[in-house]
Amino acid sequence: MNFDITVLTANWPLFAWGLAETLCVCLVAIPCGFAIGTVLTLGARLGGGALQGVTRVYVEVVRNVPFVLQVLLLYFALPAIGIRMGAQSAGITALVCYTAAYSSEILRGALAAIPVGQTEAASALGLSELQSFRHVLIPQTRHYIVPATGNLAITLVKESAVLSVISVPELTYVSQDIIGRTFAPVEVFTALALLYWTLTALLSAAFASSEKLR
Amino acid sequence: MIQFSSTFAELDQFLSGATTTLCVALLSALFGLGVGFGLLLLRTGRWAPLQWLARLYLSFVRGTPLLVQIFLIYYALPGLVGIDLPPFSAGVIALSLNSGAFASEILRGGLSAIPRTQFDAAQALGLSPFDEWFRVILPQLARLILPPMLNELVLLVQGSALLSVISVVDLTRAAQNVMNATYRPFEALTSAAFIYFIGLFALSHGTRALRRKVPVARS
Repeated sequence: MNFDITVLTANWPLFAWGLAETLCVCLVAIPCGFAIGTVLTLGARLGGGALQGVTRVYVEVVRNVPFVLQVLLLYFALPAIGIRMGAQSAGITALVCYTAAYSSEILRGALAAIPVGQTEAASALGLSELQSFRHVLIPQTRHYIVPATGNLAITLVKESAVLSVISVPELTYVSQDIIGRTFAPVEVFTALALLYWTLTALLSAAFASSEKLR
Repeated sequence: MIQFSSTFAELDQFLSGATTTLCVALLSALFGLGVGFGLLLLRTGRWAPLQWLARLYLSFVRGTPLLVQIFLIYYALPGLVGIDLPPFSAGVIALSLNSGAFASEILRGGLSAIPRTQFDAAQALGLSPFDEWFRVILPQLARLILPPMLNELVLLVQGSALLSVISVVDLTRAAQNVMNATYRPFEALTSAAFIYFIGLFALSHGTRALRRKVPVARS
């Protein structure tokens, strides 16, 4: 068989658009997801009982339902109860929900690993609960949170490929589109895999160097 | 209006979908363990190019989306080597190759947790290499890798949902079929999500309980 490189060179603007969409979706979803995840964890710790229960249920549901199904639910099922979203919004929402659940687990685990004495010492010094998070607890979780967050970001870039199922025009969807017109699955899927591989390698290198910088 | 009656009438579709999901996940976990053993042999072997190859493989599997790996096996492999695979086999192969990378890490972790003295003792007793592995090391290894392998099974069940995209009629695809037949997407998809949730929640919490229960030999 022959590998027809012209399929790739002729369609590079499309790949670039797809890559831009993938990056765009992730860059919107990851920070929002982290913010919500942080609020969830802190809310569960400060709010106690009911809030803790709700967070727990939310995290367990997201962790125990396949991501494709979550995406399909948001896109096809929510309109039945009056919530209508375009493919891109549904896709971003799915990624945000996923990130929020996993990042809240990361933060919860990190906080649980800090000895209770630290919280007690902070309150003995007269710090409010929020102050003790901000100045005492969170700084101590960094060595755990930074690498875990890096891994989560890489996972999310990979999971964003699933959004192609509801026709979000990201990298994977664009590739399928190119194959639909060129009938060259070998070339296009190889290029697609290499693009993702490069992207995740760059991300993991970036996170590794940011860990060294500290 | 939410109404589950027409969806529940298709219960057998959900059940056969769930069976397919379970079959795919179990087969892939089993084959994945085989791939993982192979990779571990390559990685710990003496020949540097093979070690390098194994590392490249691990990096590729971890660095690319599972969906893309599935597409590569299902759509690109026929053009590359001329083998046309049916969706089910292509799916199981893709998931096994993916799982193998993680299984090799699990196996490596398990083996390193077995005290060196166990190997020494087996040799001191004059056991043959076969007996050493099959009667001393592997029974201990099985205990050590059971919890992380069950965890891997959870990930495989979730990953198998992606096979719906290449038209394997697993639980996700069954839900989509029911959705298209009944025009009730909310009911069909939430039913599938509920089934996944019950199964996976039980599996992951069972694993956690097992982690606390199963005693592990220490030197």
